[in-house]
Amino acid sequence: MNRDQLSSFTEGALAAIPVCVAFFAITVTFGIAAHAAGLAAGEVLLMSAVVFAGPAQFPAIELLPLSGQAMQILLSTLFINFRFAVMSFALVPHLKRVRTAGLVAGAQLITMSTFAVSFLRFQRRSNHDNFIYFLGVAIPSYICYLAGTVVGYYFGARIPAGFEEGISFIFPAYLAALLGAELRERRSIAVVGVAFLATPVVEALVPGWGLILNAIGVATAAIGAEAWWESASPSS
Amino acid sequence: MGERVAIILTMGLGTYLLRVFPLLFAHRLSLGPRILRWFQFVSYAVIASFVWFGFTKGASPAGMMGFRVIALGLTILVAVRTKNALLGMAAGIAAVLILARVGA
Repeated sequence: MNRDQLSSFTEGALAAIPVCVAFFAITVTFGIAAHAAGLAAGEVLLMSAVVFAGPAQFPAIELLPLSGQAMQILLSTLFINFRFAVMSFALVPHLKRVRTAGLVAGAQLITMSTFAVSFLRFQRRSNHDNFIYFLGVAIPSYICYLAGTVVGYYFGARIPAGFEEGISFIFPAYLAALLGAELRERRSIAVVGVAFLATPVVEALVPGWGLILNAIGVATAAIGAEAWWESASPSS
Repeated sequence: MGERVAIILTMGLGTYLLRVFPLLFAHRLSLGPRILRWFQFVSYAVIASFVWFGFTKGASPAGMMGFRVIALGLTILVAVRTKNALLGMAAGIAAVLILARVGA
């Protein structure tokens, strides 16, 4: 690594400090919740290492201990993480000079936060060291993510009695807060509201598949409504 | 290899393919805006459904549901106002713990 590359990596690592703090805190709670759900330490660390996506991991630790949930876990993981494909698309123009081997290795480190920090910098200043900058953001973030998972898991074993209610609330609180912090657009907020309220109805109709079918149904209805709305008001 | 490890590895593989595929093949892919929008909506809807599952799952004593409704509202309010998911989560968990102690 030459001096320019080292400078770009360091710049990225400094920009990643807030991401590291957030990742560490979130994965500590993930580790605690995973311990409470009865997962083994190796399973929890493996999940953080290979999935590296909190919104998909929290639901998985709830479903993994139950039998016959494999397809639901995998489909929900794909649906939740589809956002990464959109982020990768957005990064392509900024990583044109990177070799295929670099892209294959670095792709695992794309998350909402590492993408956002890198993408904003690329919008301001895009150069031949983009990929090194991205690695500077992503590698420390990944390490913090794994460290938080380990700390949370072992901390989870030492939590005194009386905190069960708080632990069981980590999972919905994390996802609700994520939606609250991220959503700004009215139509997306409407989709979230309808999906939340319709879940028990669809789950009662199709036990075990309510979650996936509900999401597909609500999203399809929303797209249909959006298309109808746009055709009905061509000036918008 | 246990079934759970196999599921975790498959989760990782699927997620990795979503990350790497556009980087390698973006020039050959063309997803319309409507399809991208659909996936965005599905992603939000799945997360919202999981919130419902997690929200109702842990509320064993009948009185806890009221506390959890308040805590969930506070979680969302803080997250929306601060645009910080971590603060929202912390506020919600703290609210549940405090309300459970007060109500017990």
